[in-house]
Amino acid sequence: MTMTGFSGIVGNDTAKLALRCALCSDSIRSVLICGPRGTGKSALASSVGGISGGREVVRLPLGATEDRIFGGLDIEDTIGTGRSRGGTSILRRSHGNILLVENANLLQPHVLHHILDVTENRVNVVEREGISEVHPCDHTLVATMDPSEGALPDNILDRFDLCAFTHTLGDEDSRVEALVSNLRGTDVTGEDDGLCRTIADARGRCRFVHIPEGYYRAVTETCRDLGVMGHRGDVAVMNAARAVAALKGHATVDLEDLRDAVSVSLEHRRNDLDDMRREEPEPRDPPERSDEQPEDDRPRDDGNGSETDPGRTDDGGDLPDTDVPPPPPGGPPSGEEVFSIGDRLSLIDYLSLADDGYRHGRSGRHAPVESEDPSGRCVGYRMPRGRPRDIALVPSIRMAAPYQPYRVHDGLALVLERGDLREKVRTRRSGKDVLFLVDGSGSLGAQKRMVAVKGAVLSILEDAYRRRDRIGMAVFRKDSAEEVLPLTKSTATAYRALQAIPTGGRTPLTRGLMCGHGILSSRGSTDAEPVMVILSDGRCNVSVDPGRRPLEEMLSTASALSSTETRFIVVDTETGRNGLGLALDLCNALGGTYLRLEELDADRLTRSVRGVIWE
Amino acid sequence: MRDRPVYPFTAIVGQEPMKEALILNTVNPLIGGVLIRGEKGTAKSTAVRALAGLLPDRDVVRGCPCSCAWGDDGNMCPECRERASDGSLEMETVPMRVVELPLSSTEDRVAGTLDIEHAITTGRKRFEPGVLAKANGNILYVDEINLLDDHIVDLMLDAAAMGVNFVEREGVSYSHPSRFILIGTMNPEEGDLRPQLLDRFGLMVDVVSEKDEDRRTEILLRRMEFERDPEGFSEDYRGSQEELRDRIRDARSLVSEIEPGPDVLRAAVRIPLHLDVDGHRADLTLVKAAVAHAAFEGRIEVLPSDVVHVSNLVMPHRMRRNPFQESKLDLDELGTWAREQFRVG
Repeated sequence: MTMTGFSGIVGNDTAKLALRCALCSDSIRSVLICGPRGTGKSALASSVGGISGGREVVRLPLGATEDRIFGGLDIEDTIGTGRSRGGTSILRRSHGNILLVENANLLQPHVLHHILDVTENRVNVVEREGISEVHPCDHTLVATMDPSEGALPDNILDRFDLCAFTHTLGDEDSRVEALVSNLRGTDVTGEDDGLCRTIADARGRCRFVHIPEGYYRAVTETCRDLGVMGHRGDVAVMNAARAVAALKGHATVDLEDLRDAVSVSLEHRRNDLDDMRREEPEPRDPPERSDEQPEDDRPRDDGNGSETDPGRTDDGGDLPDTDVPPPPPGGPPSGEEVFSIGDRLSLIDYLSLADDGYRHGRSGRHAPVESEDPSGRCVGYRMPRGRPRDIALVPSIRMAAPYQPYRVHDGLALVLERGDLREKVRTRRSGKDVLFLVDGSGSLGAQKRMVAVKGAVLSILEDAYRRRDRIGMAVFRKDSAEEVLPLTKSTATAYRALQAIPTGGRTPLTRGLMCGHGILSSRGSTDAEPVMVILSDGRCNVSVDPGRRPLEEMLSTASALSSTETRFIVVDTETGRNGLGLALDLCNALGGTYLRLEELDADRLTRSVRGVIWE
Repeated sequence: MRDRPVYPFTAIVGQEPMKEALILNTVNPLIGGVLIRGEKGTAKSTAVRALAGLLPDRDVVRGCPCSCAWGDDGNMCPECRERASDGSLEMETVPMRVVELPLSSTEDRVAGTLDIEHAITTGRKRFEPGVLAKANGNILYVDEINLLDDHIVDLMLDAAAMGVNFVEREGVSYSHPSRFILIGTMNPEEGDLRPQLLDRFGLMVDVVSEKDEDRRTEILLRRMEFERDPEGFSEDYRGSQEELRDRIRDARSLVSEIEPGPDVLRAAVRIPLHLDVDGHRADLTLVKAAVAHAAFEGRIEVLPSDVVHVSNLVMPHRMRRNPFQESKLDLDELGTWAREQFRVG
């Protein structure tokens, strides 16, 4: 792989600015670079070493174990001397350097939290494996993530001082330029050295850059209008503004500096556009949005700040809130759009965008659960509970290391005692098997219902490649119930199976329940949680046993099923006010979750079902 | 036990795009591997394993677990670097290999970890190399790659992106070169791949079983013949195998001499723009694959028509996802458009 120097990277100016700011300001501790795959996140982050004036780039690879990240016993040293001694952890090496964490959203959340703690506090407190030490850890954290790989919660995002997005270059010429620089690895050492000197120079002056008084107000207002929670955002803008000004050689922050600062420090903190974000494929560029506010401020701050009249600053309150653009037209697609299968395209696009969010817990992956048996990924170790089953050999050796000089070796190089033993903690991403059980009888709106359900099945399947879920579908109509889509993860299979499903006839709900139960209980050995989503108005007019009343038989079957491990969700499809409430009875008998959908559309159905199953 | 002969590559009937994708990667390993999608029994694994018979020899450091490339001093593992300083390195010529990554692999075996035996017997730390070390300079083959655990995939992608495997595990800190050609096969019926992983593959081909009756019969005949007498069968194809191996070798030496001109670069940018594909990997891969294609044809000049030709392999998996069209690339449309744009035949 040809490594291009920082100055040789074409485009992505916002991200470059964020990195330059972080390098020149001691108050900016961390930068997050977000962007889709193949837009140059890694290239940017890795090239930082070339402009950092000799600071080393220390990598934290994804598979790193905690003893290597935070510090742990050095067995070699400890076995020899019997004294607990810490090794050179990644954090120790990062002191005075740049810590690079790629794909930060794929790290264990507690690891990322701890790293951010260390970054903020500039010290690493190690209390692990018999080691208790504190060492200075003053680094600049550079992290990257691809939002479509999973979200970071707001509280973690907020802890990154700066955040910038990388984009695909849109025009032909700059793409050719980028291509050439990639293929031939343009030598930009000279430019990088120049930039390095500029940054070193700015670093010295950064703290002394003056911020005009009126700007404080402008910043707090901008933050308020963007829905920024907490005060980290305000502080980050100010620090970034100082850094921008210092880089440009300004002694005082001007409006353009402030605008640039906003563009690198608020995008990950704003909450104003939460719904709009879903409709936009690209994160919007903050400068364009926040342009107007400082522009409006211009007359007040023309005197370069020092003469700003505080009284006039107070007038800021009646400034038009022009920096929040109006919501784009359209809104969610209306119900009609989803009623024919051909038109569902627009909805799919819409939904997949909605799920592209990089925060708010719209995480692409399931939270891992601790695994009870020795399978899954080892994420740590602990003192065994009872008899150790899944021994973590290396940590056990480390625990035993300090005692080696005092034990009877009897020819062995290493003696372990029961108290040294540690067992592995493993997690596994467990998926769900979601079976849609759909009323296919000839009742009113059967067609509509079917289209909506097909839409929801496909939309939910869209995520299956990221989750470990399988989706299936069974339909009951006339005198029987049949499985129309066996549990699958494949969108292609599902689409083929769903194309033609007949509807019409009577409503054998009891058979449907039995069929669904049969499918979910014959899945073989799997630890995926079974979920049954029943779309019905609760009516049942065919019984299995001709001697019984259909409804009564259905409810008693439902009560019997309530004790199985399956989770039930009943989506009531009854329309109109004078309903019989039969679906609610069904739901109560099953002990499930009840959803009511007056207007059936795939979009709402998908969201509600997703909400109940995964959130 | 003697190694059972591998089915010869040149004896595979049909499946031309798959064979071409594999060959192009061998000609220029920087293309970034290939993903082969298709139902069971379409010669996916056969082709990948057969590729071993065509691979060129490489000069490596004798005894190095990462099989460090000889003479590439900037990219050696720490041990080779140390040995190089006291001049104790020896060269060895070995054939390039196909290294398989089994689905059940655990993280520590893939990335490498602390050598426990060494630690227990001597009390000293030593790095025990994993699959990513073995794969260096070779082909890393993952069958059913869509079923591989996410965290293993992440490790693999990290190494593939950097060309280096950084290990920070269980008390050891180590890094070694890990440059490999990633070849994955999958059956789409069993679930899709994460788009992030898709994008990392340089090329992708969809294989389908042969429909033509004569060719189907031919496939069957050859397979039966191979099973009856593997040695004799391989002998029959020795000539064509050697011919292809020589052609690949010549092409490999041509690659570094081919300089893509402005019209080629422009074509490589316009096709992804036309198809509205995210990111810049497509542009880069188009150029690299076009260069390999020209070299394989024995030309020293790469043309826009090479770019158009390889776009069938470079673009399909980068198209935006669309469940209703199974994100198929409309090859006819692209072909017509490209002919107009670049005036190629």
